[in-house]
Amino acid sequence: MKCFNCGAELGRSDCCEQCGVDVSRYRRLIQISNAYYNEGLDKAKVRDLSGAIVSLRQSLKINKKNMDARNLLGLVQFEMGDVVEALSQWILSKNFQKEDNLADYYIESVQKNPAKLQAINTTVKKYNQSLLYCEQGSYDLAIIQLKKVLSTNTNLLKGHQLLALLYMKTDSYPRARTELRKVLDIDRTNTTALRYIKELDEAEGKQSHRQVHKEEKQDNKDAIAYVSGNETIIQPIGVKDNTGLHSVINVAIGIAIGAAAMWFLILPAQQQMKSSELNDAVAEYSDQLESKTAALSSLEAEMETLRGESEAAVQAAGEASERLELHEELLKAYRYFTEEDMAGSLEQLEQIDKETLTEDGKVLYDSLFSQVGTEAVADLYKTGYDAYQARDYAAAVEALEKCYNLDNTQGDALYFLARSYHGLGDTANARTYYQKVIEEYPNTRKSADSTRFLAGLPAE
Amino acid sequence: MLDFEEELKKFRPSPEIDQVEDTVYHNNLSDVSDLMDEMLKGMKEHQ
Repeated sequence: MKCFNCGAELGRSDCCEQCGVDVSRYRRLIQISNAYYNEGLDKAKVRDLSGAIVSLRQSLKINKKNMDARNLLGLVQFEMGDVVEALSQWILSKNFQKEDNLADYYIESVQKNPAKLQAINTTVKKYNQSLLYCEQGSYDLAIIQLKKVLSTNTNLLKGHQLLALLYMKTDSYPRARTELRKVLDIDRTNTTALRYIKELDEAEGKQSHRQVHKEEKQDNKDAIAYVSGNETIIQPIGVKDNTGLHSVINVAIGIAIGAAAMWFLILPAQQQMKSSELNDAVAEYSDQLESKTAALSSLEAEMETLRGESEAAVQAAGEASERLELHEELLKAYRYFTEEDMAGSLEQLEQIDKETLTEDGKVLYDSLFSQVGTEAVADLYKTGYDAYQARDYAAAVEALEKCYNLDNTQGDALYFLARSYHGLGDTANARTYYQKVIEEYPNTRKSADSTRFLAGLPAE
Repeated sequence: MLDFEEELKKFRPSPEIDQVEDTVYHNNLSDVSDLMDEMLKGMKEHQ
């Protein structure tokens, strides 16, 4: 036994050796809890399951960690057809005591047979459905549904009780009694079943009493009874020996009774049979409809999932294709680099969005760009300067602008770009770039020349 | 005499397997030792 305050193992003393709290009353409570458990066990052994549940619940109210009581409560509930309640108790038990717990075995036994568990769950659903039928007043459908439920889950006590109640409602007393006997076979002290049986006894007693009373009255009309010594003598009144006439009358009465029996007994029985078959068919169709609806919704869900997967796959393929194209561009840039076409390589690199490359791609890009950049800037400057010297100002502008954009520390490129614009007659751009030279490279010859050329430009 | 409608009201829908979790969570688990614990805490706070 463990201390309720600190959880330390308790000895024989009435105080906890670790925290010093008085455990005498706690010890007494544990004893009472165990006594209730023993009572519950005794009741369960003689199939007083309702009584056992009461005792075991008492035991758990006093000590929620009484694992034997909790496991037995689950077992009793399982026996009464309450599978979900039983599983809950075992799960709680497992939660309190993880090792060496009988609940493990029970949970495993239930879980290792998923088909059976599914069947039980279906019966629970059908039981709930039959309750709905009852609420709607469709007692015939409820009876059919409950019969199906009880053919699979024979121990579902509430199912038997509800079926008995419905039979009582439809005056099928013998059937109701049969169902109630099944309940009492499982749980001998089931209060509801005993109460219904009492009601049945009263209802049948009144019925038989009425019949006896009627028969007595009939007898009094037809005969006189009197006592002679120890014997009761019943003497018929007005009996005459009209054998021939009686035979004819009896035959006529027989025919009339036969016709009446045909009209009142056989035809309604046939109609009832047809109606019962119809109800069976309706219930069956309703079951089929339910299962088809469930299958349809599951297929729809599956289709949605597949559609999502397909869209994701298409997107992934698109991204992979884009990435492949980028890598091809990168390879092309590398090829230009190996062919020493730095400008071409640089142009190719500029078309690539570095951020969309893979990590390895980024490394290759950076390495290539650093090597190509320096040489490309020198190449572009040379091309631009040569073009400027040859007075091909358009080509000079194109090369020098690229050069300056790649490396904006190229002051000479900036100066000759301004000069090339001047040569082209584009005074607006020439003014802009002269101004830049003056601002960025003050006190240089470039700056002095630029100031002079700027002054020589026509006013805007 | 039995009142059918009243008796019918006593029958409640049964929980299904996928409601086990709810049943476990909604189980009132406090016992007498929890009560004793609370009393002890109360007494300590009072002191």
